[in-house]
Amino acid sequence: MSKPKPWHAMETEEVLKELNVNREGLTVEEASKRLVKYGYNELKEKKRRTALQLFLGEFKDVFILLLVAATILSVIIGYYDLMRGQATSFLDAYTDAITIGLIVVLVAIAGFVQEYRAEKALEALKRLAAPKARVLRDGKEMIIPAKDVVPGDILLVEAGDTIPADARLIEAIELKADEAVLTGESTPVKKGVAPVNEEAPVTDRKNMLFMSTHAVYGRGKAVVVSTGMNTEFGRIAELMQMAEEEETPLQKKLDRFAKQIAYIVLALCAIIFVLEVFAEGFVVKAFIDSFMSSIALAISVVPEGLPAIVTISLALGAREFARRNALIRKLSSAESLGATTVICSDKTGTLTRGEMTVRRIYNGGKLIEVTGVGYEPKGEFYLSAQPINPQEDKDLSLLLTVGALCSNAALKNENGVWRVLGDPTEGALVAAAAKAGLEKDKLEKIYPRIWEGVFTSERKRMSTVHLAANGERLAFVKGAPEIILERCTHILENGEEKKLSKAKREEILEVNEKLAGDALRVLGMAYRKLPSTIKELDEDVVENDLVFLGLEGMIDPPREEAVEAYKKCEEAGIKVVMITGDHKLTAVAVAKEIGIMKEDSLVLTGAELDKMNDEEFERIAEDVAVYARMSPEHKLRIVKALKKKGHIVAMTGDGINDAPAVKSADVGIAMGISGTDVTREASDMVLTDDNFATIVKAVEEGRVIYDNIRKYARFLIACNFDEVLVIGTFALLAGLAGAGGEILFPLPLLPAMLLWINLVTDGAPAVSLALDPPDEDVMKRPPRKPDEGILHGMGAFIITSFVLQSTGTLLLFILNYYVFPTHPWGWPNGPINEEARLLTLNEARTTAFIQATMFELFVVWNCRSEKRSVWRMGRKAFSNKWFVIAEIISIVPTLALPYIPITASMFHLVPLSLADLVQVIAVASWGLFFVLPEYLMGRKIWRWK
Amino acid sequence: MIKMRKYDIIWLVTMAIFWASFLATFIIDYLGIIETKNLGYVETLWISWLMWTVGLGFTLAALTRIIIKE
Repeated sequence: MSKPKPWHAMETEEVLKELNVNREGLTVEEASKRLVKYGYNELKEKKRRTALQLFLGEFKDVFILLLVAATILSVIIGYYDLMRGQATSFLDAYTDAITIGLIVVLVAIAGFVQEYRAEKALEALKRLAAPKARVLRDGKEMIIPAKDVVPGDILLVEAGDTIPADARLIEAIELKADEAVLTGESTPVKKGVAPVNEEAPVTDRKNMLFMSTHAVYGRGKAVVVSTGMNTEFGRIAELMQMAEEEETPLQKKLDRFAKQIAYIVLALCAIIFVLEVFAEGFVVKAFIDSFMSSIALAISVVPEGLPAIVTISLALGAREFARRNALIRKLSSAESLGATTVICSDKTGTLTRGEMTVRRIYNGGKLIEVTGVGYEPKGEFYLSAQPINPQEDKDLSLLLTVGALCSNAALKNENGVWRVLGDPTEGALVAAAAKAGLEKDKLEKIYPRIWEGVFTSERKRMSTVHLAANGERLAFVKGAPEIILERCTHILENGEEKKLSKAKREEILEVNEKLAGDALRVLGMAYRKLPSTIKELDEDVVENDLVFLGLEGMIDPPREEAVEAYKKCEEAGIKVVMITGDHKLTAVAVAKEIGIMKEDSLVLTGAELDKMNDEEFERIAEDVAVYARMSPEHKLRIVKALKKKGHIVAMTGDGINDAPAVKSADVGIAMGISGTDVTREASDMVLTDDNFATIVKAVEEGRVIYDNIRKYARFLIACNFDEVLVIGTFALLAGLAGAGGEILFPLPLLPAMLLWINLVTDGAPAVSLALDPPDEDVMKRPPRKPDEGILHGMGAFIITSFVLQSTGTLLLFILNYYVFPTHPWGWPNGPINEEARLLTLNEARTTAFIQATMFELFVVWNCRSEKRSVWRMGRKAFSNKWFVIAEIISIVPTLALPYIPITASMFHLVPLSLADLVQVIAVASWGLFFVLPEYLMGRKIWRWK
Repeated sequence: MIKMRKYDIIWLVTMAIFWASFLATFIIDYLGIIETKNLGYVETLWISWLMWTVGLGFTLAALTRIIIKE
């Protein structure tokens, strides 16, 4: 690769010339040509595992390795039998090996499919969460996917943006960038446009912006010089994974749980192995047989699939989230979402539409009403119910002009819908001016901007300086009325600048209170003709000695869907807290309309919060419904206090200063539309529509996912342990009987059968449970406790299922082997007829096998709801078509196995008579009849950890 | 402590009947009160018991549907 050009050492014009672009940006056509030439602005991903690698990866699993060992042993036994003449044919000798081998392949395929799906879902997630960039093309501002950025593109950068590629600044207004990802230096670097020394290290290239760093203050324009792997970040950094594939707390818990069970089961299997050897005598074959049984048992019983299913459920859930306009960035947050007890939501744009409309204007002592909806520049001005022409009123025109020019918003008509590019409040000001015929782009030509004092929530004001045609410099200032008033010395009335008296100040503040009391957001406007003595423009100099122009009051009504969503939260036992930078009265008015504000709820302002120490605040934190006049820093305190009270807190955020609060919340939610990239990166979830209702939907989905994981866990644990009892009982009896014990007490289930039951039949219905529809009461019950185990409240269900399944299997085996042998083989008194015994044994095993399988496939119907058995689910029982299909594809082959000669011989099964089949199904149906969640779920028998 | 709902009694009674009938069948078989080997297939003690559990199950299912309304 050739040495990169020293862009940082070149003059801006030189850079632009070199890249063959002007300040208006590339043309769309040129940009697409360059995209072909330079490729996408992406970092090369680390090599994805191929399907084959994924498949082979399955064989790293210790359980699969054990199965492979069992297969190899079977081959050895088969060979041994064939050599000794004990096996009559090749098939006879290797049946076990083939069966177990096939099962290994089936299990590996199932595991592979699961992992492959999870990987695909994660990949889709990454695509959805792709960052965007703001560029100039054809002279127009455009938002494009960051990967489409090409060298030569003019980037528009604002506080909060992530820089999409390496770029050379051509304009910088108070721009500071956080380059910690690149340099490790956490202090933001002030940026400028002046060239620096060619040898300057990356940290000193003050006129460059680098990929993946963030603008934290100010704004600027820069021309992209390199993209993708040619950037500094591409050169030195590892791939930044957008969606992290970390293990979730639940997965970790389940992993531990599965391991604990594994130890217990392995110990039990070791005992069974010893007992079996005792019964069969100390010969090699006895060792191998017993080893096979023990391995099969261990593999069948250990719920090794449990952690894997969590990933699938979460990954599938994440797709569902995306469909509902919520992008999950960390899978684990889907889990926390379901347990959320408090949602701290921003008001503007989330609980409300965020489409501000100026409704009232206070100017020159007059209160003027403005009509119109949203950002559409259509509306009338009324004074005392009489329409007026705003252009005839010079004071009003100036006020509207200041509103439009002292802002960075622009209006855009997209297919007939007016949208704002930039801040909604500013959008409302621009729209209000446009209603008076004062269009921003025309105004900008008359009064070009030469300087800007950026708005921050700490300063609560913004100022711009413009050059008038007569060469005069005009400072336009807007901000919180009380802040603006503090800096005003005069007021404009009837075209005259008058001294601002104390009484006038009070009158203005009174009007401000009144407007705010009507839930209007009020901004004060002021201007100043800058004297020529001021040379250096700076906020402290410009924003003084101002002339007050008036107030603009705008409204942002609550979203209808937010009101609905709030009702859902109330039913679901979730507290909603509104946090806003707005005036207390505005906040309360909106909160009351939504329902958040109750009679006994508290309202806290930022100033009041500042006066409290942490202990005082924690005491009342749970009673506060509305936080008004808050700075982003307060949010962190709110999150901490609520967390300390044991709450699971979801916190929304958009601004760059919200990032710490969003990060420290249990579920950090960033706004996809209004949010900054920094907040998005700190978040667990991104809302693509910025809508509060979406958060509530996500909470619901989180609960559904958790419920479905619980269904699977319930099914798996309830049905996995009966084999230990069945096999254990017979191994114990055989061991106690000593030599020959294996004739009197043979194992009721063979290794291949165990594997079939727990690995083949379980799989499909279990996975389909992840797609099960929610319980009706999913949003009508209080949030689960965060420390609650996954098996909480399932004890009675699991025990009942275990007892009935074990009893059923044992009973059928005993009845068919001892009580009604089809071929009497000499039990209990006579000489043993080995041929008759084997025939009877195979039949008894077949009944035990079919019962154990069918019981599971029946009981799973009752695992689908916390409260309803299949008998009360009605039509809903069939609403999950995947579940129904899974049941069919599990039941049909299981019932067919004994009737197909080849599979019958593989599994040592015999065809059952209709009468036998009826009794087996009768016993298996206990799972449908007696294991009912209505009676068995939610019982506190003991605490599961 | 386990909180009992009124309808829980139904399940407990059903289970009590289930196991009591199991025990009765076992005792009858073990003591040879009815010699099962002499009976026809359908009359066989244990098969009858298995069928009986299905009847009991259906009754429980029906009662559950009727009684629990939530």
